[in-house]
Amino acid sequence: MGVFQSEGIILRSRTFGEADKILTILTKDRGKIEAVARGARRPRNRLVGASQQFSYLRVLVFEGKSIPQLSQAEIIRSFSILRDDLVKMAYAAWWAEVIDVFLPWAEVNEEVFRFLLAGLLVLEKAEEPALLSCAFELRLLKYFGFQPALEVCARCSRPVGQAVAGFSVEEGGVICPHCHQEQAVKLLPLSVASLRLLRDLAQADLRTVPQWRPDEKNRLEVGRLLVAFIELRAERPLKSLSFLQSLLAST
Amino acid sequence: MRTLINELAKLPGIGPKTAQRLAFHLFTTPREEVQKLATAMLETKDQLTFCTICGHLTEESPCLLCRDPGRDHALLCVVEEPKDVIALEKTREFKGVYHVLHGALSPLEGIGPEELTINKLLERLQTGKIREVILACDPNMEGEATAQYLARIIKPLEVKVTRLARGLPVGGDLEYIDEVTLGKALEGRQEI
Repeated sequence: MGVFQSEGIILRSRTFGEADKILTILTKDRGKIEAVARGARRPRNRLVGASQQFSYLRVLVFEGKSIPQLSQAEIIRSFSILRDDLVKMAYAAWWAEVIDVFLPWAEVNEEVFRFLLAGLLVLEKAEEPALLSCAFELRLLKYFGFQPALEVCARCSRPVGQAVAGFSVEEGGVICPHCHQEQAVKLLPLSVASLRLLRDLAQADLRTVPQWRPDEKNRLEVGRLLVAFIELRAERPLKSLSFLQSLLAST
Repeated sequence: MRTLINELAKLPGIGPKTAQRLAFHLFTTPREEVQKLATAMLETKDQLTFCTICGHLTEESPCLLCRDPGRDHALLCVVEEPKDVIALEKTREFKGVYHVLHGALSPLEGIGPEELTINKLLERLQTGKIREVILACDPNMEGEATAQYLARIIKPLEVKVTRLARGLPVGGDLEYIDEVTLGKALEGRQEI
């Protein structure tokens, strides 16, 4: 019981009761929490503007016996640009869902909080978010302990250089030709250029990524394997991913 | 009595206490009044259907709004739910016709365009009789996603697409308005 103050980013919001919302907030000091915003669907409610998805807020949360209540929220940055652009919105929703799926409740992880904030700031300005998303996904995987093996073979742990047989989603990284020859596994294709792109993305400063112009074929290859990698580890269907994919397919 | 309380408690916004109060109220109400309520509930369930043109709730399809020759059939207002039609009709400002989507796109819930009545909307637009489409989706993320998606697919059909204004609520106090709403109000300001 008590009140706490923190900075937070709204990962998701769902309707609750007559006029309330239940918000999933990634807070800096308390990790991922759930809080109810009473009356936040009524136009004149003071929480209505602040309780929008992706808003970066200073929140005051009251913890009682049941679900915590959002008692005050001040917008630090609304990220309204992300809600005004359908493609950016779909990417931001995808990132939010990945964090929601992999981050356990109340696990304080300031690194992920800061990284999401930085990612959303870059996404606001990015003209072409697809490659940025790849870099974001890769780094998130690292924060959650699922970093794919890119420098060494995921099976024998020997350095691979440029010579890889492909990428194994199940094994968690690149597979060297030797291991593949010994025991063939299901591999996703990974060209030398795509591997280089993947390695560069893993080291990249997010702010520079939107300016990169890699070959579309390599970007697609990298994007596909990262999505497959995340889907397998999420162990549940990712709804925002199907939305994003259907949106990209229709444009 | 317990069955009645349990059934009432399943209704939206009704908790066990309210359900109990309603049940006792029904018990003390004259039989014919209770009969009227029960008949109204059953009739609503049995007789209401969706209009084959606009998707609004109606007893007879096409609905009264779609059949009304006095309305502007070239002006189409797209809403998420039938209750939005009722809200807009209360304003008495809108004289056009409606299209109900029966939901909104939701990236996080994975609700895509195929789950809404968007194909039906496109069929209506392809007749060439619509001059303007007013997007009256909710001013939240789902509504925004829906409006943008629709604008994107309607614009190539050379139909004018507009969106309801976002801004200050009538009777509100400027100092209590959040910065996003105030920003939108500034953006959509009008000359007087």
